[in-house]
Order: sequence, then C-alpha cells, then structure tokens
Amino acid sequence: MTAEPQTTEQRPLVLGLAEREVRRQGPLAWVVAFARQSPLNVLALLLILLFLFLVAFGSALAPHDPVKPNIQVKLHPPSSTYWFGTDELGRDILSRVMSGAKYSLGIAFIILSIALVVGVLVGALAGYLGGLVDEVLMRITDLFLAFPALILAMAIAATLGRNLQNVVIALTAVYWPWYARLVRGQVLAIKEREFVEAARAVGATPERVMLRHILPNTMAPVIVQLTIDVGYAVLATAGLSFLGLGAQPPLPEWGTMIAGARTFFREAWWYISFPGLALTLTVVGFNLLGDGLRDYFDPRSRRH
Amino acid sequence: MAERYPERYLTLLLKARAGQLTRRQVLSWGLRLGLSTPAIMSLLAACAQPERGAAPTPTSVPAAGASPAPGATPTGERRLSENRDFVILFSGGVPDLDPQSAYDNQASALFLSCYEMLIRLKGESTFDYEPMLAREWSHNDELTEFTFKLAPNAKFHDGTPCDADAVKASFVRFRRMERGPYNVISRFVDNPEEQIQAVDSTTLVFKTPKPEPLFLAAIASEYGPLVVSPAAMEQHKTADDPYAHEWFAQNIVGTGPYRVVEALPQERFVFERFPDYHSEPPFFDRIIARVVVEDATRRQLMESGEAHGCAYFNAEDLVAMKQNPALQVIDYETTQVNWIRMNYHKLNTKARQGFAYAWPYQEVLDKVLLGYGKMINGPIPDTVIGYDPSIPTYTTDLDKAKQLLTEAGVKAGDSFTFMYASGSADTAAMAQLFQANLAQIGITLELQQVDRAALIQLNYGDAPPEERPHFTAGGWWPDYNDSWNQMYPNFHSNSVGSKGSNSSFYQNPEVDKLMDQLQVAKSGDEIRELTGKIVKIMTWDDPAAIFFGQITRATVLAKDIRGFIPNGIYIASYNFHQMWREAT
Repeated sequence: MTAEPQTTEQRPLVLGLAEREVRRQGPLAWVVAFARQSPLNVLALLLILLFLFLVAFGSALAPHDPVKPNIQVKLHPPSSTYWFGTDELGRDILSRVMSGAKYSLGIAFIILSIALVVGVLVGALAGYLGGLVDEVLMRITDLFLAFPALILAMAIAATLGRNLQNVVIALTAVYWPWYARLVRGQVLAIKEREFVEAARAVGATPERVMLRHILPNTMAPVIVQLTIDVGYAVLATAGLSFLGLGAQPPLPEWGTMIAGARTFFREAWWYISFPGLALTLTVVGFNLLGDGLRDYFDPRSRRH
Repeated sequence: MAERYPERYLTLLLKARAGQLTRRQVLSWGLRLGLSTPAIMSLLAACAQPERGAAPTPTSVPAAGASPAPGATPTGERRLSENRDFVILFSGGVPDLDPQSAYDNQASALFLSCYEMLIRLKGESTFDYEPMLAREWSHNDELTEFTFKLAPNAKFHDGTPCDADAVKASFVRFRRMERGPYNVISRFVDNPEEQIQAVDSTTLVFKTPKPEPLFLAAIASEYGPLVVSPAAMEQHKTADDPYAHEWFAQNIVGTGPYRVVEALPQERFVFERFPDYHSEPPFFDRIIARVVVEDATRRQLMESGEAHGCAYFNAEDLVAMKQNPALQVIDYETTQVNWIRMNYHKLNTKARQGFAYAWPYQEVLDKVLLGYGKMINGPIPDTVIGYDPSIPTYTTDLDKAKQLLTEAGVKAGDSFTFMYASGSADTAAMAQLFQANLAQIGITLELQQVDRAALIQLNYGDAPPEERPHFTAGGWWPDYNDSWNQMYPNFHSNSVGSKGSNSSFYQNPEVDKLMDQLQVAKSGDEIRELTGKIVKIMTWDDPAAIFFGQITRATVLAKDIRGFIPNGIYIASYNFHQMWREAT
C-alpha cells in the first residue's frame, strides 16, 4: 500500500470539506478565507470583480458613446477629456474598453456555460453507463480533440460566417470535449466508491445516484478548469475577432479593437495598449483565481 | 536576514532555467512585467513626442515635400552605389504570372521587370511614348495602320529570338485566349491572324478597319499587351490548354531586362539581370519583390532600410513617413477613382440615390484619406479624356437621404450589407463612418470584412446578384487614358459577373447604348459629349455607385533611390530600367 495520497480520489472529499465550510461560514466568510490564503488571491478577486462590474455596468457608465464616430478628434492622445485617448474615428477608447467587457468576457461566459453543460452531460453518461455508450461518446469527443483547438475554431467560424454568434458555436465546439473527458474520469473514479455503493444499496435510483452523489463530487477539478478556461476563452474570442472572424465593427470587442489598432500603434500607442491591457488583466485574473482555487482545494498546499 | 534583490532575481532565473518555476510564480512575475510595460511605454512615448497635442491630420492635398523631384538627383551627378539590389514590397501574393491573363495591379508592377510591351508611356505623360521592345513606330494619317520596328537583337529569356513572327504569335495568343485584360486588344483587333502582319523579321504592322486614335495608348498598357515567348508556349501547351496558360501562370519567359530566378507567388520573387537584354542594361543587379501583408510590417521594413520601395500604404502611414529623413514619399496624381458599388438588383433607383446622399464625402477626403483624394463627379477622373466638369458632385445630406430612402420603400430598422477587404485601415474607417451616418437615419449597415482574395473571387466570379452584398468597396483606373476603357468593364451589361468587372450587375440599356457609341467615337468632342451623358446617368439619374474620390497615390522609396518616375496610368509600378541608387 502506498503512502502517497491519491489526489484524484481525495478531491471529492476536499470539495466536501469546502462545501461544508461554505455552508458553515457562509459564502462571504469563505471568500474571505480564500483571499487570506494568498495576496495573489486578493488580486485575482479584485480583477475579476472589476471586470464583472464592467460586464454589468460598463456600457451604462461609459463617459462617451463607444460606437459613434467623432472624427474631428481622431487619434487624440490620453487627456482629461479622453482618459485612454481616441481611436482612428475619434471614439473614446475608455468607453470602448468599458463597453467591450460585456462582449469579450460575456461571450466567454456563454461559451463556457454551454461547453460545461454539454461536456458534463456527455462525460457523466459515458463514465456512468460505460460500455458501448462510453465508446461512442468518447470517440466523438476524440474527434473534436484531434484538431488543434484554434484551427478548428477558425474553420468553424469561417464556414458559418463572421459574427459573434458563430464564435460562440465555434469555441463551444472546441471546449466541451475537455469537460467531457474531465468529468468522465472523475465519474469513473467515484462511481466505485463506498458511499456510492451505499447509496445504491439503500435503493437509490441511478438518476439520484448520479445527480446527488456522483456529479457534485466531480465539480472541484471542473471549477478549477473552468476558471482557468475563462481566461483562455476570452483570449480565443479576441483572437478570432482579431482575425476578422468574430465581432464586426463597430462593436467594441477587445480583439477587434486590437486588430484595428495595429495599423496605428506607431503613432498612437494608447490605441492598442488599453484594450490589450484589459485583455491581459482579465486573463491573468482568471488564471490566478484558478490557481488559487486549486491550491485551496488541495490539502497539501492549503494553509490553516 | 532578508534576501537581497539581486539574489532573488538570480534564484528566479536559475529556477526558470531548471524548469522549477511554479505556474503561480510565472503568473505573478508575468503580471508584474505586464503591468509595468505599458507604464514604461507611456513614459517613453511621452518623452519621444513632446508636441503630440493634436492628431496629425493635414487636410490639404499633400505636397511632394522636401524629397527630390522624381528622377532628379540632388547633387546633379551620378555617384553610383555599390549596392545593386532593389527590394520592393507587395501587400499580397501574385498567384497568376501570365501577363496576358492577370488583371492585377501588383502582377503588372512585377511584369515591368521581366516582360515588355512594344512601347511604353513616356515619363509622367499618358499620351507620349518611348521605346520598349519596338525601337520606332509610326502610323498612317487615317490611323488605321500602325507599324512597329523591333529591336533586331531582342531575345527571350529562353534564348529564342524575339522577331516579328514571335511578337505576332504573342498577340494572337493574347487576343484568342480571351482572358483578363483582353478587352485592351479586342477593341481594335478582332482577327489577329489577318490584322497583324510580320513584314520582315523586325517589322510588325497592325491594321484596323476604322480609325483608332487610341490604339497606341492601348498598346502601351501594362495590362495585357506584354510579349511572351511563343516557343515556350509551343513547348508547354496541352490539348486542354492550347495557350499554355497554366504553365505561364507559374513561369516567366519574356524579353525584359530581368529574368526570374525564384518565384514563390505568396512569398517573394527574385529577378536577376538578363545578360542578353537588347537595350542598355539596367543599374540594379537584382529586383527582389517580397509579399508582406501587414501594413505595419511593410512600414517597419521601409524604415529599417530592409526594403527600398513600396506603393501600398494607408494615408496615415504616408503622412508619418514624410517625417522620416531616410525615406522619400513621392505623391502623384492618378487616373484612379474610388467608389462604393451598389447592388443594382437589390436596390432601386431612389434607394441608390438616397444612399449616395448618406455617404460622408468630406470626412472621408479630409480625415481618412488625409488629402490623398479629391471630390469627383463620377467614374471619370479629371486626368482622363472625356471628363466633364459641368456634372455636379454629391454632398452629404442625411435629410435628403432619408426622404429618398423612404420613397424607395426602405423602412427604419432595415439592414444592409457592406463588404470590403480586410487589411485596409482606410476602407474600414470609411465603412464605419458610412455606417454611423445611416444609423442616424435609422438604417442598419452590417459590415463584412473578408480577405482580399475572397472579395475578388466574389466580385469577379459567377455568384448571382442576389447572393452579393448591397455595397462593396472598390476603385478602378483605366488600362490606358480613355473613358470607355474605364467604364465598359465596370458598368456595361456585357461585363456583368465573370464576364468583366461589373460586379454590381449594373444594367442600364441607355448607358449600354451610349457606351457602344463611345467605343467607336472618332473625335475628342464626341468622346466628351458621350462620356458626359453616361456619367450623368450613372451618378444622378440611375446611380451605379457612390463615386467618392479621385485618388492621389504615393510611392515610398529609400532616400538614395533615384530615377523613379510615377505615371498616372502605371499606378504603383516602377520604371526599373531607369532607376538607380546614389552612393551615400
């Protein structure tokens, strides 16, 4: 018998611990405990709060119209009127960055929500039912995983047409297989455990076993993966828009803004810098959160 | 004792080299670096641009500036440089290398290094000529017989002689193959076997059934009448491809001063001097053409001195590059008119008139083109024969636009599509200004950026008008100085879809009739009268497009390049055989 901890099997228990703590302390206290674990966790939470705030209120609070050109002030450097300067059509870059959060980040949330639902459903069915169902579902999953992710997304987006809805479809097609694989692995490990056997023994239906006993215990790695993927999804959305496959002008999506700015970066550094900074901070924020959560759920690195 | 900073960095570096950094450490340090970079950039930018109070947006037509006049040497003497490579930049690939098929500006610029016409336009003129493959030329008083005396020692790059029979065979191929720019010859020569005669080895005669005052102008076009090797055609033709087009699309065998040594159509072309060239050898040993898609990269290559010539820059870059003492930006008037094609089948007359009033004319000319364009009243620029100054121009009037669009049946909330090639910052800006104007009157304009090849394929392919967007961005200049040649491929009903360049399917019987009369017009007055009638219909009565500007172009050269002469017909091309580099 090995003395090494079996991390795959411990995670459900760890999440159980976290859930118990959340229930015992309340969500706010849990957030405080999480924040106290590392200063980077504080930074991650602040960044994410800032961008979530912009998703909700960015458009309403923008000081200028983010879409309407005012070409008389084109490529105006940062000033007291235009804090982040203006673009080649005289639009306020601060207003566009603020309004753009709901496209760049909002689209990422939608993509991952759909990918999560599809991936969890496929992974859970494959893992729990096994046999032929597992084989068929996993080969379909392999089919999607066989292509390089961004190339597949570009191909889908280019085929369907250039707009944000098709970016959602393209990136969802890229992300769901990862969740299916992850959840299947978790389900395979958990379904043989004693508490699941016990549930079956007392007559729980397969649906109840799955929904009440297995799925909740697969969520820890999924949540960690989800937080890290938000950053990548934002980047991928911006990447497709940068290539002209996503948001179309005049939508102030960050990738579209960076694409438009690359021609002017020699004369107007502010144009490319601020949407780029927003993108960077969003990705870093979610990556730090993902790392923080992983450490928090991992008893080996958790501080008490 | 606290760890000292240098030791901390050393530890960090050692860990990084050993691959022992955790993801969290990488993120943490990456974040610090990322956050500090914009701050440093801001400080550097602030130091470098003390006078950056307002955007650099001159509104007047740009002047030639301090750079030497085209072809002039500042010192008055020729101190030749030892560097004999000339590197030029293109914004896209050149997939078709057949000069009698490609109808593409970048291809024609390339061809002038390796292929030759019989004659070429002289200097900046559009009606004076100078020798190319022909040493002399003449015509009879009736303008029905044109005689060319060829260079006796001319050879193709494959070593075969370029005599009168070879030139005739090349013109027969051009006319019979009926590809791309063949209207340049078909207007004058319907039966090339009969109408073109090789009198002796160096004398070639073209006979036309009626007077053709524009024949020499057409023969000097850089689109089509370039001479290819008939021996190579014979060697590589097949039953399915009797003119060896597939072979010529990938290979070059001409008589020009340079022969190709490397041709990678999407990357680069390398030419070296042809030792058996029939005339004075050119200065440059090698011409290297590189395909660089990104505007910013082309500019960087010019500013770093890695490239020596480029004719593809947006107005903003041109204005900025004029401040660079290592470069010369040579502006010149052209025969180019830019327009927005309107889908004739999807938009009725009143709608097209309404949209024409909604275009932001002055904003585009002043703030987007930065003076690299001026108002124009139709498809014929003031530099082309037939221009009629009495036809008024549109001005932006959104009330009038709304009224006409309402009469046309367009309702608030209706959506239209505008397609343009990605990569052009100028076009993207214009499209968004147009979109904003239409939004003010409640109309949605959906912008569709597509890559250049896709736009060309749609424009000149077989897609029916119903599958085409409402608006497409474009522009045109004639193959030679003639109003018919500017309008026929774009607006005659015989030229719709893949039959020409009439991608908006403009089909007006009255315009067709007048164009057919214009094709055989005998005098300048008749040309002007007919052209004026056509332009009035296409601009006002039954608009074909939104004609928003006559374009001023610029070629950017390294400071030490001499001998370049721009020409309003040979737009974005180079007179390689006359250019040289001054020793500095």
